[in-house]
Amino acid sequence: MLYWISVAIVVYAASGVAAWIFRHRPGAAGVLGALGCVVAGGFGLYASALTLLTRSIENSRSLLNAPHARLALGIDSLSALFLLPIFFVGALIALAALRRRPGDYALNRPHEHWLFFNCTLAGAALAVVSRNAILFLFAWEVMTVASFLLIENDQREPGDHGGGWVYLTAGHIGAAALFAMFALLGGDGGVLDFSVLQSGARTAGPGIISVAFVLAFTGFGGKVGLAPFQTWYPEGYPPAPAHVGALLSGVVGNMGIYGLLRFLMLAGGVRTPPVWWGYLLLFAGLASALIGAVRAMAARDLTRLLAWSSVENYGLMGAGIGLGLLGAASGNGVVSYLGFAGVIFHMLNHSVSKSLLFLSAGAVYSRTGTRRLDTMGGLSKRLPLTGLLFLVGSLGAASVLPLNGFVSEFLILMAAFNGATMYEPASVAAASMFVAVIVMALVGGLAVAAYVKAFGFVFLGNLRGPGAASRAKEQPGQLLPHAHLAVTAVVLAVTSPDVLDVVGVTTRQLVRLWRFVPEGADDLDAWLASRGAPAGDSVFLGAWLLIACLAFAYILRAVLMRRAARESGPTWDCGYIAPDGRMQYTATSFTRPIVEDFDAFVKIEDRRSDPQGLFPTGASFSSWRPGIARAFGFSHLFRLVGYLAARLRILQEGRVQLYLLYMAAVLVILLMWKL
Amino acid sequence: MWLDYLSVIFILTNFVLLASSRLGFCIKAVTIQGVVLAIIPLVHEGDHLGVASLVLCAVTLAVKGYAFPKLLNGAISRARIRREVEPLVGYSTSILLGLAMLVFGFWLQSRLPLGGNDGLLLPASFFAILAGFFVTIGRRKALTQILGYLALENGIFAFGAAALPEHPWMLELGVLLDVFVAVLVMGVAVFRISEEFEHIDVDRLRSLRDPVGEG
Amino acid sequence: MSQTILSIVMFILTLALCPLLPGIVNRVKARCAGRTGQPLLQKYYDLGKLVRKDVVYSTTATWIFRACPVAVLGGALAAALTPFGRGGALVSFQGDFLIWAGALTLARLFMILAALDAGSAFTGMGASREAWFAVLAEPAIFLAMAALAVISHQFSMTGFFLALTPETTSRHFMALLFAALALFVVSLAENARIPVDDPTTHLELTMIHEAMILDHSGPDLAIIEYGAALKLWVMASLAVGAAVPVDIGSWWLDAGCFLVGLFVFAVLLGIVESVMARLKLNRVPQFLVGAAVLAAISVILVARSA
Repeated sequence: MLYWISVAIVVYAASGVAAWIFRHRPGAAGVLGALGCVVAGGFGLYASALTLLTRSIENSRSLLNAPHARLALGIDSLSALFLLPIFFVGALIALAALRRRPGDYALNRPHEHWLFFNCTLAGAALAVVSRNAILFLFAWEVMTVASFLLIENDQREPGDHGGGWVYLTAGHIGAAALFAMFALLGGDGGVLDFSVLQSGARTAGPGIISVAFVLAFTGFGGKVGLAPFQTWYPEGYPPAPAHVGALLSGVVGNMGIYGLLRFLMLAGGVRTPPVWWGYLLLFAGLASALIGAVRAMAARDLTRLLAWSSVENYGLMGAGIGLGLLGAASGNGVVSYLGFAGVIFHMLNHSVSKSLLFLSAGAVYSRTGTRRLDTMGGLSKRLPLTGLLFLVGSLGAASVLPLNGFVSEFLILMAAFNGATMYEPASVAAASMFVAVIVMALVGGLAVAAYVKAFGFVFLGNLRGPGAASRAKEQPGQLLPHAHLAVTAVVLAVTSPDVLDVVGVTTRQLVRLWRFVPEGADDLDAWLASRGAPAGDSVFLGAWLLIACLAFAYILRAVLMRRAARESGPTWDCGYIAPDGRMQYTATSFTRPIVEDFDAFVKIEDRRSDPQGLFPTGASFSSWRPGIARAFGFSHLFRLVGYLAARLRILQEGRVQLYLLYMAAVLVILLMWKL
Repeated sequence: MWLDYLSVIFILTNFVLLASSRLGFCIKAVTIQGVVLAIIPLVHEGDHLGVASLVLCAVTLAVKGYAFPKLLNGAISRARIRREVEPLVGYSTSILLGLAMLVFGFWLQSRLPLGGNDGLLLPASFFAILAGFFVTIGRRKALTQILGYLALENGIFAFGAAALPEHPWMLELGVLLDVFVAVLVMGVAVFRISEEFEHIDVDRLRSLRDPVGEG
Repeated sequence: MSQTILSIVMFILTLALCPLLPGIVNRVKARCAGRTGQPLLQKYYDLGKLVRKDVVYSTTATWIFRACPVAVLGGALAAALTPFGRGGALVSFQGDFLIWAGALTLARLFMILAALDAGSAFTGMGASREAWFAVLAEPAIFLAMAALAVISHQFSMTGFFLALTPETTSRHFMALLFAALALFVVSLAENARIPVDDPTTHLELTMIHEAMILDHSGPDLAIIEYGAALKLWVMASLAVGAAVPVDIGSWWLDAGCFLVGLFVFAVLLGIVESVMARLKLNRVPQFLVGAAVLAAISVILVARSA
C-alpha cells in the first residue's frame, strides 16, 4: 500500500516538473500536469481505499538514514481517510482546471501553475504519510509554500495582492509553532520519528505535553482558521482562481484537522487529557464557527463567502474534536465517539461540497468576470447545470438534511446533546454542552442564510449583471468533474452508515487512546449501543424518510397539477408591470437585517449623501462591512510588526561587508556563550 | 413549592424590566414584584403566621403595590413620557446579559455558605439586584432609573427573605420607609426636572456641571 | 399493537385536521372582535378552490419555484411523522428531533429560494425576513429540545414525551412550563402568526410569509398553504406535548387529551392575536431572544432539579 502511495507522490512531483520543462508549450504543460494528478490520484485512491477496507496498518522501514531525517513513512486508517480527499478531490480539481476554456481567464503561466499545484498535492500527501517530524515539516513547508505560490501566480485583479502574503505569513507562524512543538516532544532524542516521539511523550511531564498541545493548536488550528486565527485563513482565497480555492479549502485545510488528530495520537494517548484541552478546542471551534458563519452570511464576494464558510466548517470540526476530548477527559465514551466520528465524517463531506462550490463558482466567474454577489442574478437561466451543482454543494455545505453535511453535523450535535444529558447537571461540562448546542443552532441558521444568499442571488431571479448579456450555452462536458463531486456528495449522504463504518475504525482508535471502555467491555460497538449512542443508522433512516416524503409530495403535486392549465406571465409585483433586475432585492440588502443583529462581529459602515434641494443633482449610498478582528485586533498587531520591521531596516545596509560582520559577530557570540 | 413559583414570577418581572421600553409596562412589572414580595413572608411562615409578618405584608402591599405605581404613573403622565427611547444598552443585549446575571445568581448560590438553601428565591434575588443595578446604569430616563433602584431594593428584600427567613421584620419596615421617601423625592424631582427642561434625560443633566477649566 | 394502530390513526388525523387549526384561530379572533367570522372549515374550502384553479408561472421563475411546494409539503410531512405528544409518533429513533428540525429547515430553504426565484422586490423582502427570524428562532428550539432531552434522558421525540410520568412532571413542572412557553413563542414566529407576522394581509411592506408566496398560484399555492397548516400543527403538538403531559393510562384517552390540548393551543393563539399588535420589525429579534431566554431558564431549572 505504502508503495503505491509513494509512487503517487513521485508522480505528482515528476508531472509537476515535467509541466515546468514544457514551459514553452502551454497546452502540453497543462495536459502533463493534470494527467499527473489523475494518475497519482488513481494510485493513491487504490492504496488508501484498500488500507481502509482491509484496516491494515503499515509502517515502512526508513529508506534514508541521514542523522536527523529518516524517510520514515507509514499509513494507517487515519492517514488513509485524509488521503482520500487529496487524491480524489485533487484529481477532479485538476481536471476542472484543465478543462477551462482558453477564453476564460487564462492561466498566466500554466507551467508554473501546474508545478505548484502538483507540489501542493505532493506535499499534502507526503505530510499525511510521513512518520518522522523532520519529513513532516518538510512536506508541510512544501505544501504551504507551493500553495502560496499558486495563489500569487494567478493574480487577476489589482488590489488582490496582500491576501497571499497574509496566507504565507500565517502559514509560517504556524510552521514555527510546529517546529517548536516537535522539538519539545522530541527532547534530546535526536531521531524525531513519530514512534520515538510517542514513547517520549509517555515519559514527558504533563506541563511539557500541554505546552506542546498549545503549540499544535496554534500551528494546526491556524491552518484551518480556528479562533483567534480566523482572519488569516480566508485572506488567501479571494485573489486565487476558484479551483485554487477548491484546493485550499478541500485539501490543504484538512491538513490542520489531520495534524490535530495526529497530535492526539502521538502525545495524548498516555494519560487522560486535561479537561482544558477539550474546552480550548471546543470554544475556539465554536467561536470560529460563529464568526465564520456570520462573516459568510455578510460577505459580498462569492469567493470570500465560501472561504468564510470554510472557517465555519473547520470551526465545527474543531468543536467536534473538543467534544471528543471532553468526552475522553471525563470518561464519557459516547460523547467522545460521536465527536470524533463527526469530525472525520465532516472533513470528508466538507472537502467534497466545498470544492464543488468553489469549482462551480469558477464556472460562474468565467461567465461573469466578477465575484460580486450584488451584480449577479438569474444565471441559472444561462447555466442551469452549474446552478444545480452549486445547489447540491450549498445544501451539503450548509448541512441541510438529505445531503451529506447534515449527517456529520448531526453526529457532532448529538455528541453535545449526549453530553448535556450525561454530565452532572449544573456542572461546567454540562453548561458547555448547552452552549455548544446554542451556538451550533445559530451557526446552522446562519449557514443556511449564507448559502441561500449565495445560490439565490447568483442563480435565481431576473437576469442581471455582466453574465446576463451572453447567450452562449454552458458546455456540460466541462462540468464533468463538478458532477463527479456532486454525485460523491449524494453518495456520502445516502450511504452514511457504511461511511460511518469506515470512519468508525479511526474513531475507535481515537476513543481507545484513553482506554475508558470499562473493564470487560472489549467490544466498543456493543458498549456504545448499550449506552444509547445513535449510530449513523438513525440519521440515515431520517434522511430516507424525508426523501420518501418528498417523493410523495412530488407525486401528489403531479396529480393535482394534471388538470390545471399552465400559463406564464411576468412576476406579479403589486401592479407594477415591468419589474426588472434592478428592482430585485440584492444580496447585501437580503442579509442586512441579520448583519445588524450580529454587529458584534461585523461592523456596517455606511456612507450616504442625501439628495438636496428641489432639483437634486445626485445622491449616493455605499456600504461596506469590515470584520472586527481584522479592524481592531490584527491591524494593530500587523502595524506594530511593520513598525518594528521598519526599525530593523537600518541593519540592512546593503553592504556585503556589513553582513559579513554580522555573521562574524553572531558566531563569536555563540562561541562565547557555549564556552 | 409555592415559593419557587413566586420566585419564577419574580425572575420574569426582572426580564420584563430589562426587555421593555414601555415605562408603563416596566412600572407594572415592578409592581408585580412588590406584590410577590409582600406575599413571600406569608408563604414562608406557613401555619404559624406572626402579627409582624402580617403587618409587613400589609405595609409592603400598600407601598409597593399601590403607592409606588400611583406615584410613578403620575410622574410619567405629568412628564408626558411613555417609553425609553434610546437606551445605552440595546434590549436584546440586555436580555442576554440578564440571562448571564441569572446564571451568575445560581453560581453565587452554590458558592455562598447559606446552608442548604437551594430554593429559587436566592438566585432570583441576586438577579433582581444585578438587573436593577444594570437598569440604573444602562438607561437614560430618570424614571427608568428609579425603577431600577426599586428592583434593586426588591432584590435586597428578597435576599433577606431567602437567606434569613426569621430576621427582624422591624428592620425591613425601616428600609421600606427609606425607600418610600427616596422614591417620593425622586418622583418629585423627575416632575420638577421635566417642568424645567422639558426632558428627563439624565445624560443631559451633564450640562449642569461646572464649566471645565474655570473653577 | 394498539399503539401502532393509534399512531396511524393519529397521523391520519393530523393530515385531516391540520387545516382546522387556522380556522379555529380565525374564529377566536373574530369572536374577540365581536364578529361572527369565517366558517371553521374555511381553510378546507380555500384549499379546494385553489386545487381547482389553473396556474400562472412567472417567466422569471425556474424549476426551483416549482420544486418549492414539493419541498414545503415533503418537509412538513417528514416533520409530522415524529412528534405526537404521548406515544403516538409513527416513527421514533435516536436523534429524530434533529431530523425534525432538519426537515423543516429544508422546507424553509426552498420557500426562501422560490421567493428569490420570482425576482420581485416584495418576495425578496419576505425572504430576507424569513431568513432573519429563522436564524434567531433556531437556538430557542434547540434549547427547548435540550431541556426535554435532559428531563427524559432520551433522544427521540417519543422518548421525550413518554418519559413525562406524573412523578417527572411534578418534579420538572416549572421547566416544562418554560419549555412549552418557549416553543409557543417560537411557533408564533415560525408560523407567521401575529406579533411577528400578520397572516391576514398580503401587501403591506411588513409581511413575511404572505409576501414570500405572492407569486404562487393554483394547486401549488394549495400545497404550500396546506404545508403551512401542517407545520403549525406540528409545532403546536410539540408545545402541547411539553405542556400537557397527561398520563391517564389508556393510549386512546391520552391521545384525546392531546387533541384537546391542540385545540386549546389554537384558541390561545387566537387570543394572543387578538390582544397583541404586530411588533415593529426591529423588535422581533428581541422577541425571539426572549424565547431563547425562556428556553434557557427551562434548562437552568432542569439542571437544578435533576
